[in-house]
Amino acid sequence: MKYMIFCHNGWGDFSYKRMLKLLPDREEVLVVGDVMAQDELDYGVDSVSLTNMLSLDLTEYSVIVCSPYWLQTVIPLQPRYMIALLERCPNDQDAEMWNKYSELLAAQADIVGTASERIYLEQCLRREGIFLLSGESPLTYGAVSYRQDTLFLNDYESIWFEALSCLNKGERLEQWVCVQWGIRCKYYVDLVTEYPNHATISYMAATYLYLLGRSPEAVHYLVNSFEQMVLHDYLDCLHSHYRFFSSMAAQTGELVKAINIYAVSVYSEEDRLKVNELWNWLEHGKVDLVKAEIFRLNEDYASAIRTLTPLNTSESKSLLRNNYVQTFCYEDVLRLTEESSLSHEEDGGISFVDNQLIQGTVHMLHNRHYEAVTAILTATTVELSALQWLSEMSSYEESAERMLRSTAYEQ
Amino acid sequence: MNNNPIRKTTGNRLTAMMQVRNESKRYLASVLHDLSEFVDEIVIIDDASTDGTFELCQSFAKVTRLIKLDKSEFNHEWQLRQRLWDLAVSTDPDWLLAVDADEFYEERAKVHMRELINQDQYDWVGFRVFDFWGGLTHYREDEFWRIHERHTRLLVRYLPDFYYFYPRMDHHVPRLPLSYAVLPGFLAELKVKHYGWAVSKEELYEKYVRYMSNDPNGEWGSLEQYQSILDEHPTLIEWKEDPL
Repeated sequence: MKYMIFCHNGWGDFSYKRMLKLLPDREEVLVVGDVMAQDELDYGVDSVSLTNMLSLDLTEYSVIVCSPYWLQTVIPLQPRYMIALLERCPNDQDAEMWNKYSELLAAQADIVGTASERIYLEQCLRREGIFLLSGESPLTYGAVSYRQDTLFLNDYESIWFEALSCLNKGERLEQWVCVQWGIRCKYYVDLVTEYPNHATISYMAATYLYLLGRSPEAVHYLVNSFEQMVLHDYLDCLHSHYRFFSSMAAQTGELVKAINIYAVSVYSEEDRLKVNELWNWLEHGKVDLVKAEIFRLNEDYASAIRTLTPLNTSESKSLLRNNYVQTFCYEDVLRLTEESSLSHEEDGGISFVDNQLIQGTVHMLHNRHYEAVTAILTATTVELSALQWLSEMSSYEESAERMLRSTAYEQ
Repeated sequence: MNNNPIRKTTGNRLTAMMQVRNESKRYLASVLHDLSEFVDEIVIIDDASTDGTFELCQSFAKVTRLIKLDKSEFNHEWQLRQRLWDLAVSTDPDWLLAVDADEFYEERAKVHMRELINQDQYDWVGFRVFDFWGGLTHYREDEFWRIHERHTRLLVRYLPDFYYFYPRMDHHVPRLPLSYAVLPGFLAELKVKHYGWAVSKEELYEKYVRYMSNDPNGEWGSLEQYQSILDEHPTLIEWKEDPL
C-alpha cells in the first residue's frame, strides 16, 4: 500500500510520526515537503516536492491529510483513500474557518483520527469511522514488526492499525469503532468509582455507554452528572445534560417519553412547533422520523443518518438532507436534491440559495474555481448576503495558498 | 397518547404542599383557611404530631391527601421532603406551592397567583419571605436576618418527565427539588409573611436550644445566626402591606 502524507506546517509539526511505522501493508510512504535525512531513515519515509507530487497518480495512494487547507489540492487528485487527522485549531489560524473546513475534511475522509477526545466525540456523533489517537492505558495490546524492531502497541495504536487494515481490505470499520468505545467506556466507568462526584467523568461514562447503545445504563451516569452540575451551581446544563435523556429514551424506543423530555427544554415558538410535528408523526406511526429528529435535535447526527438512510419517503429524505447539511456532507446533500427534483417529489427542505452555496463550496473543493464563483453569484441574485461566502472562500484560498507556499519553500 | 402542551396557559391547577408537626395550637388553622381561598388542593404530611394536628388538617375540604408518619423524620429532612414531593405529584398537579405551617401570602400575591401560573414562559416563581419577630406587626432585618432581600423559590410547575432531586442532607434541605434551578424562573416582587419567629421570648429560647442541639458545630447553618436568636434588641421594621 502506498501512502502520502500532507502535514499542516511541514514535517516538523507532524505529531504522528510513530504512527507511520504502524501503517499496515506499507510499501511506500511519501511526505509532501521537506523531511530531515535522518527522519527519512528512521521512519522509512521519502520526501516529495509539491510539484513532483502533482505528477504522481494519487489513485494509487492513501493520503493522510492533516490540514483542511489541503482539501483543494487533494480532492481533485482522487486518492485511493483519504485518511484525515483532525487537529485543534492552531493559534495562528482563524478558528471559525479552520473548524468548518475540518468538518469538510472529515466528511470527505474514509477514516478519521484525532488525538483530541473532544473532537473525537463530536465526530462520533456526526459520522462513521472515527478513531481516537490518544489514551491512558499503560498496557500493551499487540505488537507490530517494523524492519528489525518490534513495536509494542497501546490500545489506540492497535485499534488504528486494525482499522486501517480493514480500510485497505475494503471492510467495515464499525467493529473497531465499537472496540474503542468499549475501552473508553470502561476507563470512565472505572473512574466514576474513584470520583463519584465529578460531573464531567460521569458525563463521559454516559456518553460512551450511549454510543455503545447501552442507554439504560447510561441514564444512571447522566443522572449523576446532572445532579453534580446542579449541586455545584453549574446551572446552564438544561441542553447539554438534561436534553441528552431524550436521545437515550429515543435509543430505547420510548418515543413518548423522548418527546416529553425534549419538550421540557423547549420555550421558543419554533421549537414548540417542532414538538407538535413530532407528536403528529408519532400519531401517524412515523416512528423512525420521530426517532431520527430526536437524535438530530440532540446533535447525534450519526444516529439520525443511520435511522433515516434505509427509509425512502420524501419526508425521510428531507430530514436526511438536513442531517447531511449539518455534518457538511455536501455531496450527499446535492445528490438527494438531484434525486428529489428528478422524481418531482415535494421538496420541503433546502432553499435555492443554500443549494447554490453548497454547490459553490463543492466546486471550490474540487478546484473548479469558475463554477464555484458562478454558483455563489447566482445565490446572490436572490440573497445579497451570500456574497460573504465569496469572501470566506477567498480567505480559505489565501490560507491554503500560504500553506502551499511554505511547503514549496521548504524545498 | 397525551400530546397536550406540557406548559398550559389556562386552567392550571394549583396544589399546596406542606409538612407539619404539632402545629394545632399555632397558625395552622389560619394558614389552611387562607390557602383554601386560592389553591385547588392541599397535600400534607404530618410528621408524627401528638397534638391533634392531623385531625385539624382533616377538617379542611381542600386537604385531599394527608399522611401521618408514625415516627418523626425531622432529623432526616431529605427523606421527609422527598416523601412530601412524591405525595404531592401523585395528585397530578400543574403547579405546586411549598408552604410552611406558619406562612401567609400577602393579598397582592394571592390576587396575582393565577397570572403567575397561567403562562408558558417560566417554570418557577420566587417570592420574598419576611421573618416576623416579636409579634405580627414587625419583621426582623439585621446581619443574620435578611432572607427577604433575596427570592425564595416556592411555586413550581410540575413537569412529569423532568428529573427531580433533593440534596441528600439531614437538615436545611430546600423545600423544592434543586433541579428547578436549571429551568427559567420569575422573581416576583410579592411577599410572604413568615410567623415562625413571631413568638414569645421563652419560645425563642426553646428554638435556640433546639437548633444548637441539632447542629452544635454549625455544620448545617451558622452558629452566629443561632446565637442571634437570643438578641435582646433585634432591628425590627414595621410591616406595610403593599396596595393591591
